[in-house]
Amino acid sequence: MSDTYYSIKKDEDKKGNEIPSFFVSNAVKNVIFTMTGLEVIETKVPDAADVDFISHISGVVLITGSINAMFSLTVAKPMAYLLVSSMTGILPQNLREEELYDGITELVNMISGETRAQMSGRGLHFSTLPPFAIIGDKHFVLHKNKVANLVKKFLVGDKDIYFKVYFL
Amino acid sequence: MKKRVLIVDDSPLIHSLLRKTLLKYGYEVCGDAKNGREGVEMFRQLMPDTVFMDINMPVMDGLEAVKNIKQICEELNVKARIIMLSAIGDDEVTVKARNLGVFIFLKKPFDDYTIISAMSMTE
Repeated sequence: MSDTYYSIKKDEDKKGNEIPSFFVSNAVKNVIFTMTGLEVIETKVPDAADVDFISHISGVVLITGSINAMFSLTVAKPMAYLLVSSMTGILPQNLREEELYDGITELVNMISGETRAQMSGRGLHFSTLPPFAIIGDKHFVLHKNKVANLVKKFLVGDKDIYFKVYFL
Repeated sequence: MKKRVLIVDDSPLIHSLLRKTLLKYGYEVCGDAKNGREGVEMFRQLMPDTVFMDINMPVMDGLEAVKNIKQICEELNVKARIIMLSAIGDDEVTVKARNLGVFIFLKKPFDDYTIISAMSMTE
């Protein structure tokens, strides 16, 4: 498998329908930097078992078309406060919970849009459904019995951001 | 006279970011709509000079709303500049938007400079 693709479970029947790993990385870094001014660093993904245990908010968006997939951006609460406070200029203590959820949801929406634009250059087109948030301490996201196909971990300072793609 | 702007987006956060930027640079935000249908209704009532329009929204999407707003403009013989501001920015969609009469297509993420540059082009 090419180094440009990172896939935990590669489905051979879907060959060519995967999203290049660096598209996703660039999209996450570019969107967060532009909206918040925060530098985002990609880092090594820990063992899959650890991946789902830092969560408090996941922004989720579904895409359909040449590729059917679900994108999720998962953060713990302190990171959500940092991101949304940096986006809005509102002090963390003055942010309402709904603003946190909306902020994370909007970020995943922009990341999917950025990825979509890059994929359309390769002749792959898809539609995006309105994004939504999943909230709860230590929640995790599964599609049927599948964990994410593509998992990316980023750091802002010492705080984690997980971005996952589930091919449906 | 201050230019009047209507914001149509399903994200309250985007409303507050745009509002903050527009007010800072001397524009008036005359309305906030959370989907395309509400946007069309508010456009008819408020007759803003400029509309910021998202695409991916529940109830009625932004492209459909632009079509409706353009019809209203034709019926009433008024002009309005529509600035599309969306996370979706591939060629297929931008061409569709341009054909519907969208003045400028901006892609999210955005910063103040992008918003104000687009606004200055509407003048």
